[in-house]
Amino acid sequence: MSEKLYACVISRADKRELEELGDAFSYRIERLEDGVLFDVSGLEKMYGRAADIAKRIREQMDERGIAGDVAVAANAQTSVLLARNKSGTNVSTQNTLDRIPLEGIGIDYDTLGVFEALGLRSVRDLKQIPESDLIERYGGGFKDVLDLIRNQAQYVLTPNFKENYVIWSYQLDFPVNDAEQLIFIIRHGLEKVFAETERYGLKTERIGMTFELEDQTSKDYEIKVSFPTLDIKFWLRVITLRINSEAPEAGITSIRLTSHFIRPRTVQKGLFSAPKPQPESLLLTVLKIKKVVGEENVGVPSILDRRIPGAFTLDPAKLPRGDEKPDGKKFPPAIVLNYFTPPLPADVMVNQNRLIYLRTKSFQGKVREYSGVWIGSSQWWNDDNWSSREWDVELEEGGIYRLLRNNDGWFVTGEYD
Amino acid sequence: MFYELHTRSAFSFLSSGSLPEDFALKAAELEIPGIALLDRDSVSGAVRLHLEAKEKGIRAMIGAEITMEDKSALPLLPVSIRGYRNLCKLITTIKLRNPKGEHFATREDIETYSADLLCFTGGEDGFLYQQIENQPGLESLAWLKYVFEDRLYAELQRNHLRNQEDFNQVVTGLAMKLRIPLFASNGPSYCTRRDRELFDVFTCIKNHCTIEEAGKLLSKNSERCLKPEKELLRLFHDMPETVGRTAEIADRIGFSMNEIGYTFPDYPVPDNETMDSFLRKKTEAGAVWRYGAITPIVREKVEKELRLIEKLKLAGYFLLVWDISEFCRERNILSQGRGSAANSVVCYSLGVTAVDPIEGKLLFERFLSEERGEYPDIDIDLPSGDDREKVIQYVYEKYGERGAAMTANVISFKSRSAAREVGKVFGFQEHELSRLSKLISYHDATIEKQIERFKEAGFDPSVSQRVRNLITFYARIRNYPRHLGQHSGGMIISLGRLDGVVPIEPATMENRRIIQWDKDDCAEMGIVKVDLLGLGMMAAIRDTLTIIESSRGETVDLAKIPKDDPLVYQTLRDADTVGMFQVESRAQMNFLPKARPETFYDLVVQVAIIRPGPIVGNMLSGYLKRRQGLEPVDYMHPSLQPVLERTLGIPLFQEQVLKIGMEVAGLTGGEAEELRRALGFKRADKKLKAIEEKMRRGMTNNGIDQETQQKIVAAVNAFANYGFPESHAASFALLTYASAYLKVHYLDAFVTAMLNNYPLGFYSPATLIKDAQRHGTRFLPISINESDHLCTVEKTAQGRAVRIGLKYVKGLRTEISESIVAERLKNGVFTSVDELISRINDTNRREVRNLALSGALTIDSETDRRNALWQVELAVRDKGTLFENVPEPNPKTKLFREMSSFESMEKDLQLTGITLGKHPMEYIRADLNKKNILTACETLKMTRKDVVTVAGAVIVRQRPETARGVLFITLEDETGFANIIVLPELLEKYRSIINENSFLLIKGIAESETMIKGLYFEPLQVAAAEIQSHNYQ
Repeated sequence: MSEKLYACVISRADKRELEELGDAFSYRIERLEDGVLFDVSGLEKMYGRAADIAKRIREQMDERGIAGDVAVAANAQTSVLLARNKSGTNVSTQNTLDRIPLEGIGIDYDTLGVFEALGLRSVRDLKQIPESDLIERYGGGFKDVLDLIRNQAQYVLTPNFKENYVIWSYQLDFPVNDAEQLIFIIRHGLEKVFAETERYGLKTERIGMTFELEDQTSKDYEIKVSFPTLDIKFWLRVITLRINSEAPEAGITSIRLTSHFIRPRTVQKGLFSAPKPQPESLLLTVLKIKKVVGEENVGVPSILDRRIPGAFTLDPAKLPRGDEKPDGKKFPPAIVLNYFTPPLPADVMVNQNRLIYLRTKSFQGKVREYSGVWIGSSQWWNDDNWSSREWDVELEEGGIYRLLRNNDGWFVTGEYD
Repeated sequence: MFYELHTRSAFSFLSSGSLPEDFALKAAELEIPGIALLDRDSVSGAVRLHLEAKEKGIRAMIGAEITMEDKSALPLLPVSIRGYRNLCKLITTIKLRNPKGEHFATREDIETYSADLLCFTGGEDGFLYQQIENQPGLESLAWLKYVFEDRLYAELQRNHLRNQEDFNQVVTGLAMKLRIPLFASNGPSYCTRRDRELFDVFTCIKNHCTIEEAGKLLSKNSERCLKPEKELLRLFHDMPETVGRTAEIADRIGFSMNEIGYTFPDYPVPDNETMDSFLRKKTEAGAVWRYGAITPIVREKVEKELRLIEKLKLAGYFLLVWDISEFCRERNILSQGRGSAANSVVCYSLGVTAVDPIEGKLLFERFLSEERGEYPDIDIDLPSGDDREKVIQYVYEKYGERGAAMTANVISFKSRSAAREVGKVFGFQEHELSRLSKLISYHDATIEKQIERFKEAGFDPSVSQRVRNLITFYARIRNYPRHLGQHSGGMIISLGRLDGVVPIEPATMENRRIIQWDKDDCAEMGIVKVDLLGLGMMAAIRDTLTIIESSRGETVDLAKIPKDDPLVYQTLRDADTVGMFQVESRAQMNFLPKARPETFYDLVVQVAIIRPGPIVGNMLSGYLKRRQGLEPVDYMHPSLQPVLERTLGIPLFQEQVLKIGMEVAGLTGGEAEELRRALGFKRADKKLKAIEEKMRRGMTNNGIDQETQQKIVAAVNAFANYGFPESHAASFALLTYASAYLKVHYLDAFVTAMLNNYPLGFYSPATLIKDAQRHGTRFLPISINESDHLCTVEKTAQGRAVRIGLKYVKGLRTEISESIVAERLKNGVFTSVDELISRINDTNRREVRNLALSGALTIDSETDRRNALWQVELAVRDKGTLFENVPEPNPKTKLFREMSSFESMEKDLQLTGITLGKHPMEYIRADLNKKNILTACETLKMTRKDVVTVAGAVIVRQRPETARGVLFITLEDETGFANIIVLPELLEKYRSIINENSFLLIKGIAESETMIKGLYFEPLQVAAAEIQSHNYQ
């Protein structure tokens, strides 16, 4: 059996590109924070000595436009050490290893300072110190450092390149204009990717779908739900809603589905817990509403910690999960204001600084009583600066309204319930 | 009529957008007859409001909001001096009881100090609001009613806020139930609507957030400003009586700040003595001690001064200062009165000052005059450190916790801090803030210049709103108070309880207390301050004397040192003055060889003339020309010759201006002092005009022609910018002479004392050592078996040498250093590293490593620094409990090559900041020689217009305000110093190279034989260590 051989590439290139590089040489690949490590044992038969393998990797890198440093060594960690500390293409030899500065071998900062003061700067310097002296001072843990510089590190390459997604694709025989006709094929695809996902004991909360179009363009959909599920019926409905609202503009020639998976949710319902709508159905309802009123007009409301008029917002990206709780306010408001969106333009009659009459498209009447003026202003430090003057107005015919005067005129912004 | 009774100023610190004086100004403008200032737990803004209100003719009412247990505020306003005293005592009680910043009042505190105080229910952050939030509030209001009876008022504020009205309705209901009268207030936190922005910025600074993050912490609108009666009547149209009630309340307040009854404490005197008679006795005895006998001149002066002191009832004050001086004398603490006190024969006789005013012809009127109507200013210099602390604690102890405190120093937003804090508010990142604060320059006083500089650095206000905001608020926030600090030495003492005059609070420093007023407030309120100032040089002189005694067995009495030592004056003329008090700066060094001082009075002039005032007033060149005989001496009028003779016709001292007024215009001493004060006061145009007219009248009466009058008036006016008291200069010159004498004759002791008292003076310890070495002093390295904590002078076979103390090992705690010395003295020297660790408990790894690397553990010839460090690594390893008491073998095998002398130098600089071996530049001298780069010493032989290159360690970077943007650099090498000037345009170009490198190579042109105009700057790689440099403006 031939000896083990490892290659390490340290590079800022895209992780996936690095994995693909590793993939070209090995089936055992470990993604590192700053590069990739792969097992190249046995490649001697194909390419020759370690130096030839390193050269071959370098060629591949050049072809793929990957900049970085390569090292090949009989020890996994040595190859990492070399690649991290020596630029270019290197093969582990005693000489190359000896010249590595001590900063690169994982010695703690404090001890490194002591070594620097002692005049120890490279691996070669450190090797001159008796092992027993070093272990005596820095403990058994320092053996790892010594093993490393002696090419004896016990590092086991752990493949970890597998992505958390599964891909399925399908080439159509001829372009199809109506995407809904392809639902049965999408269903088939979902069955395939979900089966694969289920094998890992995981579920998916995000699906990527790409249609290649006959006009040589493509249409991408990124569909995310607020909980992981493998419910094909549910996903099909979500996908259909999405396709309906954003139909492709040319005939579809191929489909690609990517299922991104995560750990499944754990739900434990209590015996006496109140029944709630299933998240799936709640979500579908929301999606249907979105389709009708527009994406940006549906979301989860939240109060903003800002001094702006009507300081709450709808977060369209936030989707209901079905387990929302009211915020911790002890006292609910005694009076409810229904906001008009948009505010109703109004005509107001004023006499001697008093509000007399209010008219909008929907209602009008004499002012019975009012309070205010309530003044607000903020954002003075930027272009969004605003100021407002508000009154609470009761009409003789009934109804209490919030009246606003700003730079654009008079508006009724809401009605007190 | 409407009085605003609940105003909060910037002295509520970061909780208001306006200064007290601005409120007074605005109130006058809005025709509000009076305002009440209720800052949070503070009366710090009281004096400012009081003075401005007085000028504007409105009433200033002073109270405070008191922080309650639930952090709400209870507004209290005194109706009488008794009430004011109660308020001060209440604030003092709660502030002194709790750690700084965590104070609050309990209900019991309020009950104890409630007499003669009005109480308001407050606004949104008020006590009642909090109570209503959590419970119905009736109980709390009933309690207030019980405590304050008819002095309780329910407060209504209307700031156009919807939720405020709910609260007002509840308060109104409760007030009706308990029959508490209501009044209206707008609760202003700022003067005008525009100031709300500043208020918001302060809110962000207080809450450490950006303006975008501040959210609902920011104000809802801009309505909490000062509003006139008309607006209040409109706001409270449904209850106009609440507006009228403010006048009723104001009428109840029969107290103003004029009534603050500050009394200086009586000094306890023996039976059958009055303070005056006791002072006379002490003065006469002192005069005999000082002058040998009381000559007629002395008698005349003493009598004149004592008479005035008696008339002004100041004997207690003089006795107190004498008492402090006596305390110092008894404990061998050097002390010396400075400032105008040195003009007084009484002070000299009492031993308070050291300058003989008769010999120095100093003018008493500068110190004390009948017309001045205020306490004289006596400052006492003490050795900084423990000795000064002893004196301060003595005063605290003598006058009690509530009888004495330090003056506050109002810490305000300065240029850089303002830019940094405002920058944070507007979301600038840390790296941007660092750049921005570097762009702020003291020299670019105008905002236009700052804007220009910002633009050049890529912060263009015309492009970015953020930068616009930064610049706007940076300018607006400057000089606003941020918090109270401690004055450098001003102590206030009061008869009875000082906390009945002004609240006392704890200072950040342990065992120190401060009052809530700064020195200007105290002066305005006629409160006497005794300045106990710490002077590093006095501590160094004290230590020098002790070291001389211990190392040479010689006693040097400062009072008896020869006053005209030729070597001292020669050294001064040679500008060989590193370490000498007040004459070691490069400006002084430049001036000394030209001025060529020969007498003590020359030193007095020397100390006074290198100051921003005379430099800006172009007095230096005039004085020099006259001194060098290049320009005739002109006294303007023959009668002024005696006054200006010693300064060659140039008025340099405040006393001279007084004398000019008295001689040529016949002003009285008091009038002349008034003239001096008017000259020094920026906004005294009217006063100055009046006194100028008086002067002219006097001069005309004395037959002085118009042309001469004009000359004299011009000289006096020009003086306004630079007056320095002669007596003060004389006191300082004494120290200058003493330090020069000690340096010249006892260099080893002097430099040892300087090293032990560092930081002080102009130069780093490394420069002090190199200078002493060049003068022949030997130094011995740090050693655990030889060094004390401090540096010492040792006798060796080769003579005396300075042993560097363990205090110079960076990171070594004082207690460890001291225990090493104590253990060595008790049980003998340390024979190994392991022994050191076993005998000294609690040393940490870093400390022992630093000892090894600084060479302190080179116990024997076998143990060099590296092998000592290797032993340390074994000795300090984690052993576990089983082996912790087992002694280690002493490994003597040398594994490591000894450090080269260069490596040792680097480690010395890194770990001690000093090096005893070669100067770093010496290591590269051969290379520099090859490139024709001069040594510092060689630059002294240059002739004008020579093109030269010099290299060295940068030890000074100085950009004085008076130099119009020019930077002065001092380079040091093994031969001495080279001086370089950098013009502003070159400074811009090379700013980062100059500021960020410890060693520089500079090419330039010789401007004079001692000055190079730098043209090109290059970093120089010499040693991997930072050189300590004195960088300042």
